[in-house]
Amino acid sequence: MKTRRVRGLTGVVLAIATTLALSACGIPANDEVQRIDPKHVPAHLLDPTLPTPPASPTAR
Amino acid sequence: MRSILPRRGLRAAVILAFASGALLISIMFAVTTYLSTRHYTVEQRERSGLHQAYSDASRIKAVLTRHANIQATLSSLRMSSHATIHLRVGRRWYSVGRGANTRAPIQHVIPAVRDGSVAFSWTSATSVPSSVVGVPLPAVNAEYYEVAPAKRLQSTLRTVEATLAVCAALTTLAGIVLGWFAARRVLVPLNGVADAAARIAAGELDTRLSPTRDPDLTTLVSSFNTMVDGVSSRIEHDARFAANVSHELRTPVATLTTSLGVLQHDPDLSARSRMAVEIMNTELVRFRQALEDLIALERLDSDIGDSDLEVVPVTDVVANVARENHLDPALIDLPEDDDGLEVRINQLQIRSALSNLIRNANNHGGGVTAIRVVHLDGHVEIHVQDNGPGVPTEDRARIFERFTRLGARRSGPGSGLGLSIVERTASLHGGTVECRANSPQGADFVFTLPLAQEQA
Repeated sequence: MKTRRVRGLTGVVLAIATTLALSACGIPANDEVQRIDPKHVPAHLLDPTLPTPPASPTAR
Repeated sequence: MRSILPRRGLRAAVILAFASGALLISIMFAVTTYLSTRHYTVEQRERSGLHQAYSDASRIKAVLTRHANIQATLSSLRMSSHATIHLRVGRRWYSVGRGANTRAPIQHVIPAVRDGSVAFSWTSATSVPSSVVGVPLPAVNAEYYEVAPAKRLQSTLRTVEATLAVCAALTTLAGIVLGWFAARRVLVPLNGVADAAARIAAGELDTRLSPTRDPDLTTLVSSFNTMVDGVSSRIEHDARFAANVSHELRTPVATLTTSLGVLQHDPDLSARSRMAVEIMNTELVRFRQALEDLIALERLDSDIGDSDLEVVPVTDVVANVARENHLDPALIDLPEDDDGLEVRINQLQIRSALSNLIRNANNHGGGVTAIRVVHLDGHVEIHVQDNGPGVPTEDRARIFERFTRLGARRSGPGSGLGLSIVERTASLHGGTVECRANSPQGADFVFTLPLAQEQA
């Protein structure tokens, strides 16, 4: 009886682990929109009164 | 409900436990590693995507402020970032890049940007998952959107997935190997116990398990040895008791035999009384035979010393036994070349055993039909054959057990110990005895002894 219970528990743990692993695979492309805190955005983009600074190259 | 799977042995259970443990640990390790790696790389990609979009949006804002050529600037941005760019200026949309023909990937971001927030999203609306950044540019009444495919990030995550899956499989395999070694280590002491039990069952009652310093095995070893001590002492006690009883009964039985002999010769005895005395005499003879057999077995159980053994030609022994039992010499079949057919035996015991086989044939098989000596590789077989009803196949091993008397023989002569004495004698001399079917009918008792030259 006890062995059967332990076997069932192992199965549940394995199933949860597998589901978690599968759902966590790859890039989370779920169309969820994040609004970026304006404090972290260059001020000249959102504030119409500020002039645009000289461009600096960035790399992706 | 009964399981349809066969019951697992100890070895399989240990291996399974190790494999399950290794599998669980490796899965937990792999999931944790993967989640943290994914979180870090995705976050890095989001950060770099936002910085690229801020930089590009700044350039667009500058171009729109100067009223320069928007399309040319968008194309140059697209060439430097490989992204699809959508730009709304007033009511007009400008798009460049591979996905320029549709604005579906940015639809869910537009409301947030319209509200004046910079918005970020991962979308699956493109063939490869892509990051979408929307930046409002209120100074020029514009909205800037950048859709950048994350092909390299996807490939990196797939490599990490494959690597962790292989590592988990290897860890599980290592768990199985470790479990196999552990099971072997655990079973070694049990094999020792099984060997000792087998030796004890074969009659080596002085067998004991060696003391061990392993605290987990100390109890097992001491319990086993105590059990064997108990069984051994009980067997010795029982044997001693049987021997003492047999010896004690010998004298009264001898007195009874003598008295019955006197009674048998009494001329005044009525016919009825004479019949009763005859029956008593028959039973007394049988009783005396049983006592003699019990004493013989007790002597055999106390083993034979090397000093009692002598090397003699087996043909001489068989000839002497046949003569002692008044057998017709024509029934004896000895090999023509008996050179080297010598056996190392206690003559008294072997002659007694062969006599028992002859008596068995006379009592239950209608008399001996042949005694044959066959020289085989390393040993010699002495066949005592009869023409009687034979022994059923299922009883051929059982008839050598003590006090076993089959079917109609139960009421016949004999103590039920004769064949046990034969079996014990053969065993003590390193030989065997078995019962086969004789052709065309009857039983063929085969007494096998190793040749003396093989034992040297």
